[in-house]
Amino acid sequence: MMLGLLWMLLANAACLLGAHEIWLRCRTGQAAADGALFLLLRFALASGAVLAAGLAGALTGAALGIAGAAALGALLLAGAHRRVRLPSLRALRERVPMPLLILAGAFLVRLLLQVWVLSPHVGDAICYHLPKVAEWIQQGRITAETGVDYRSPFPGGFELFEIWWSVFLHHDLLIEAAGVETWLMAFAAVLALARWAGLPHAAAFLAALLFGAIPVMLMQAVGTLNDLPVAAIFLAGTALVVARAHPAILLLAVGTGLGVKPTFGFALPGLLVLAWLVRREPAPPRPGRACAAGLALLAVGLGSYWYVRNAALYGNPIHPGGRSGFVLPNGKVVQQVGPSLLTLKENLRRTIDSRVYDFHLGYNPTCEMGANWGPAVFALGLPALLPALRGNRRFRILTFAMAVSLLAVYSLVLSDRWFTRFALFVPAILCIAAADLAARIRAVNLLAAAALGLQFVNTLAGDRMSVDDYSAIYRQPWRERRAPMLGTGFPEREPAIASLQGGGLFIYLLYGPGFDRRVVYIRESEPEAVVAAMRRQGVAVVYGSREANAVLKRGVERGILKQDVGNFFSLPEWKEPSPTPSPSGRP
Amino acid sequence: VLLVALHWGFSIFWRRTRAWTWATSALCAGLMAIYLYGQLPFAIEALRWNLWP
Repeated sequence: MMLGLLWMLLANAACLLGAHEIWLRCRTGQAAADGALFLLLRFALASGAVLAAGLAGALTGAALGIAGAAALGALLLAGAHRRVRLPSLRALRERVPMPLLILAGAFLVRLLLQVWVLSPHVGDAICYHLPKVAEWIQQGRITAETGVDYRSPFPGGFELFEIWWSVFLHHDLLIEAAGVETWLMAFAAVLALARWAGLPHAAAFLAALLFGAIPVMLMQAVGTLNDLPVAAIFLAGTALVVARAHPAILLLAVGTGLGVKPTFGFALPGLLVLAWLVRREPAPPRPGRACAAGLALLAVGLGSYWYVRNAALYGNPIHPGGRSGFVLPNGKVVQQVGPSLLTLKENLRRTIDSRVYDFHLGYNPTCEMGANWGPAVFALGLPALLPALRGNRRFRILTFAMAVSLLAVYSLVLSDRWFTRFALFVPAILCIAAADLAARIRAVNLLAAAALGLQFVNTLAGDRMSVDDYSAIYRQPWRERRAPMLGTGFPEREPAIASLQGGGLFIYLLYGPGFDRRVVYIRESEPEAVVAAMRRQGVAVVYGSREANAVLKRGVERGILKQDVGNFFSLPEWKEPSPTPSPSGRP
Repeated sequence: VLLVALHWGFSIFWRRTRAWTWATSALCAGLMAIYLYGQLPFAIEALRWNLWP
């Protein structure tokens, strides 16, 4: 573990210093936009390093650490450290009132504490995002295996960054830090957009804080989901468009975003409209050709890898989507392909009529049945929108571009229980408007403070987990910390477990927090074939799901399997290994 | 939507006056109350969980 920590420090130092060197060559000169750019560069460099190491079969902490040490040595020899100028805290203190800084610090400290005490627990993440992280770290390379959930072949750009935070320690203790970094990127981007719209420093900072404190932002930041990263990269791209950054930098934002989730591409029309509307704004000096070419290459690599991979493996770049959309084996369409006016109408109607009120369910990171924008956006952002639109041309331009993106996204995503999470960039506009209003009216400021307090407290526990579940996570020692979804009686000591094709499985939890349990994926649909595959692979226990259990239960009826606790089934002769006695003789 | 539209109409005639400030504050407070009314059951539950587990 100590060696892993050393590799992590070396690789992160190299990544930060490398990002800084590139940043110096392509920054825009606008402080907040440059902050977002630095975080975007850091995200892209770390993801690119993981992708390269994974494809080269060197996805280990040691390999990345040694490469990082070599890169750090080269950067230090080139004097890169002498060019580092840390942001001035004194300047920040002079521009932003202390209570706001303390409040922002409290939110950040809370997120960092959650990185430590939480373990991946959100359904989508532990079903199909994170199994890739665990499998590839375990294998030491990026393999064709992504898990047996139908959604597992989706692009995994954010998973690369999560691997960066897990591979060095060979443990998921710090995996949520990936989300917190994107939270910071979103914060910087909204600050940049608010400044561009003409808000004073303090009001712009409040806008960024209001956005960062949106319930879904806080929950996604530590929820290992990829919607916040999409929104953060989109907003960073927006801030860079209005700062008139070089096209290679914009391409980096687009490539990185497309690699994280295709929904990023759905929002691109707004970005194009914005680029056209601000084309006459002054542009910063252009970066050198080598720098621009390097950024473009990185962008193309990160953006295209997943689609090329799916084309090569499945003959379809948008697999598991197809011409009829993303259709489950039972015929249910869970995502459409192509725009639909009907979907647009439904999504808009549902957003306005019910989702913004958040009255169906408590706050949750997947925006189930609610926008999860919180009271500040609803009560302050909505009334502030029209006055801000009326009096501020730049704000009108921004709002128009965001509206185009919103309409594009809403016409392309099915009106399901979770659709609002695909347009998480929208409340940024409302937060900027609310902060503008709060700068003029003291009572609005007080309401904003009250809303921030409520959002801080009410997002500590989500509705999908009880406080007992959270307590169960917190109480475990960090080495063994794991969400309790597998239930009690889970065969803890089994070194390998099979998992059967089907949705809704918490497969990631099978790997264990240190990725030390082998998970064997079986894609058979007959119990005899499942058992034969288990015997061939030397696995005695199989983990089912609501769908897969039908196959496994047929195996129980035929006497070739037995059902254990919950969704676990085993070969008839299997008995759970007894615990190894500890040297002290205590269990 | 109706409340926000009314407020906007109000602001056409009394923009940035003391009356506008009061109307805006009242509108924000009213919307906050409407939001909290819908969220209250969940908010109370979450507050109970988080403050007095």
